[in-house]
Amino acid sequence: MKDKKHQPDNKASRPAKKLSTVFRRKLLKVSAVILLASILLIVIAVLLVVHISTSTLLDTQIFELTNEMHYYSETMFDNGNIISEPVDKMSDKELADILAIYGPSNWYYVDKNGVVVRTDNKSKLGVNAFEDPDLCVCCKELIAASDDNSYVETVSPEAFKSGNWKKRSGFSMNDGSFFVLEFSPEQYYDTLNSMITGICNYNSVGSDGWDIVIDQNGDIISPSKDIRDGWNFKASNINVKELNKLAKEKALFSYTVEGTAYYTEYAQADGYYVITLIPEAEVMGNIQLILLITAVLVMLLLTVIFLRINVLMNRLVVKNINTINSELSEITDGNLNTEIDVKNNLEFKQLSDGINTTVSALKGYIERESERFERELELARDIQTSALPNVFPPFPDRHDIDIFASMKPAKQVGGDFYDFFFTDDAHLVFLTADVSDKGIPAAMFMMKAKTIIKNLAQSNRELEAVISKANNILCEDNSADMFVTLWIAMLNTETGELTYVNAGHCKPLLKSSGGRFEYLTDSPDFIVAGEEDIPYHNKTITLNKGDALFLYTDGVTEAVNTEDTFFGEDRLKAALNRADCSTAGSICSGVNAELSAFAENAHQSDDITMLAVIYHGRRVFDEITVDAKRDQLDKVYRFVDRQLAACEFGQNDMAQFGIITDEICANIIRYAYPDGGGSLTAGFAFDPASDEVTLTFTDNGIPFNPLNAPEPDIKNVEDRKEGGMGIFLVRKFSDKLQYEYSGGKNILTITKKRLSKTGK
Amino acid sequence: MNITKEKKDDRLVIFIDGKLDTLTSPQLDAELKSAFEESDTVEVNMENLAYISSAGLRVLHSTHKRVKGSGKLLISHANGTVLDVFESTGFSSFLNFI
Repeated sequence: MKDKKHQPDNKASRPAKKLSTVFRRKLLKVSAVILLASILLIVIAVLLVVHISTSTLLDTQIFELTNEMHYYSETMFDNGNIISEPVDKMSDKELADILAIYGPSNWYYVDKNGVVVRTDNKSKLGVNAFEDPDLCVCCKELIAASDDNSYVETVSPEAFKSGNWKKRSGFSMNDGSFFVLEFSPEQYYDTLNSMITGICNYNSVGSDGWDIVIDQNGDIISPSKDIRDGWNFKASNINVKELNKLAKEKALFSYTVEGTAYYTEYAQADGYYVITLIPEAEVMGNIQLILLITAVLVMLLLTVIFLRINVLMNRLVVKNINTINSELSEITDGNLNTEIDVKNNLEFKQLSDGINTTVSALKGYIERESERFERELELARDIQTSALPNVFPPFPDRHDIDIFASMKPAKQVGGDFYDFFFTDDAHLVFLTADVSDKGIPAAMFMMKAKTIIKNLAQSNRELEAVISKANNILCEDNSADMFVTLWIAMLNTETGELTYVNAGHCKPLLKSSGGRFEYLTDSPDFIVAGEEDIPYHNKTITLNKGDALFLYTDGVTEAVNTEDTFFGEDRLKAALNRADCSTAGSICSGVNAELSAFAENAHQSDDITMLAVIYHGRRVFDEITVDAKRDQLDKVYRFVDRQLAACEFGQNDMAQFGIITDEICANIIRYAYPDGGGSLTAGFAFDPASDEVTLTFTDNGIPFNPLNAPEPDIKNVEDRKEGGMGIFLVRKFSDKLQYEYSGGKNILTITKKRLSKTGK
Repeated sequence: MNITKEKKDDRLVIFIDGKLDTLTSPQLDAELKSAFEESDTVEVNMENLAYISSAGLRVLHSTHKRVKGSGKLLISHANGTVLDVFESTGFSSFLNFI
């Protein structure tokens, strides 16, 4: 899996180029190739056209020249019968003189039988002219042409090329005999050169082209030297062998004369070569311009196409892809409501619709999943919250303690908790704690910590030992490396002694002796579940009646407002000192109200947990002993009144306790000490836990149980004897009456709950 | 306990302020006796009486019996614990409340 995953990564590690850049580069390359190819093609085509047209031009010129040459040659030698007298009567000398008008040559007279009968070339005398390889062509033509006709034999190209050639002409006589004249090249040239010198004088191709006639040696015959001088044409000879080597006859080729390149063609023309030349520059001059213009036009065209395609590419593809990409990255950033809306062509519409469908399907799935997760989280929160004591007041029968706690969980399940419980009638344990981390694991760890601490505290009076043990237990298997900070206290409600351990937790605030809330500043011990065998230390203070203690977690002090400012310890202290401290609940709601006002709508990132305890005081006990005499009773009455007032009992209670005290004391004086003497002890005890007063009356007189007194008949009181109502009233106003005779003493115990408080 | 007396129309009104218990009821007894010598009708105003114990009841009971036929004992403004005591002991059935 890993390798597979890494390979594409390696590929991707090469920096990816922008689509537009890649496209532009490719397009540029293709454009360049097209440009080059088209220029090449144009060049080839133009050259071909030039070649063909030049070739045609030169062909025509060659054709004309050749014709002209032939014309001159015919004209020169085709003059018919020039022998007017009978040949037999003329000597060879006379014949030769007449024939000399054609210029010097060998001559043959062939009789009608075809035998050379007279000649100046003795080697051929008597030869059958029709069988002679040199003469046969001419003879056959003359015979065919019948009488009084002439014939000029054209120099055969093959013979001309070999250099072994002769020019022949002939004319027939009336009797069927004929003359054949045979010119050697020198004789031929001697006769014809002067005739053709002027052929090319005024005859040329193009503006700077030339026509040239050369003989077999390459000597320039035409144009004449003076004309050539006028043209500034220095050469007088053309290398024929080179010419033959460069090209075939009537074929276009490039030929350089005196440093100038020419398009050239040449051809044989009856013992001569005609050459026609046109400067390449003249032909190509325009062509180059045309090529340049064409190339520029092609380039321009390609540039326009390139730009247009580029723009189209950008508009139709790149822009769309960029839009899709930016919208996709919005989706990636978590905004699943982003809709991709690139629909300006079918393909992108399909792509957009495809992505939108996928995203919406994904969104639905995520929503369903998160709903499920939310439900489970809510369930977890419910379980967590219900694990904390959350019925208030938790101890409705106890009036020595007022306790209230609240936990406002952050959105996710957190690790805060609080707890409070009595380990026996007189010991209240309470704590707030904060598990590091959040979420389900922290919540589970919190449940574990809470259970362990409660179990340990139920059976152990030493808080430091409880926390030490809890620490060691929680350290075991603490794979998630979580820890918990806590502030735990045990309050002896009878004495007001408060023992506490602070394991790295926020310091609580104490409102002592009617003063203001102040932080308990002593240094804390180490956190719980951080490390095994950590020592924890008890600290002890004594709470007095009305003292209040406020515990919290850092969710309170670290609550932030919209400007990211912490609520902080100072604000907490001020809030507590402003709060209504009449009940623990009002303290918490006071802090909560200020906290809400401070945070406004800022996101609550942590659980907010607080716990307030008000101690309503320890058990009160006092007693007074007086002589059991009427004039001493007032002391007892005032003692009871004083105690009741100190415990804030209301008028109703005072009246009823007054009646009870009066009845009992009167009874004692009357019945326990009928003969006078002896003492009377009145004990007053008040238990704030039950809000009960216990009055104890003790005397060492005659054993007498007042509870044995008969019930008075209250229906016919009027006619009855006075009295007998005392014990009835005591019973009526007390909750519990108990008589005991022990150690020589009558002990009457009366228990009565408070009816009302002062001012109520 | 403070007792003040006031003559009003046809009767004498005794105001009791404080507690009526073992210690104070003899004083009321004495006051009532002298009052009935002055007037046939005596009203005991209990507006400021904190409580009344059985000693107080006995005084009222004996006085009631004593003056029955010759005079009239009236109780006024009994409230709270005092009224509660009268009602629960049956005294409210024969004492004259106004």
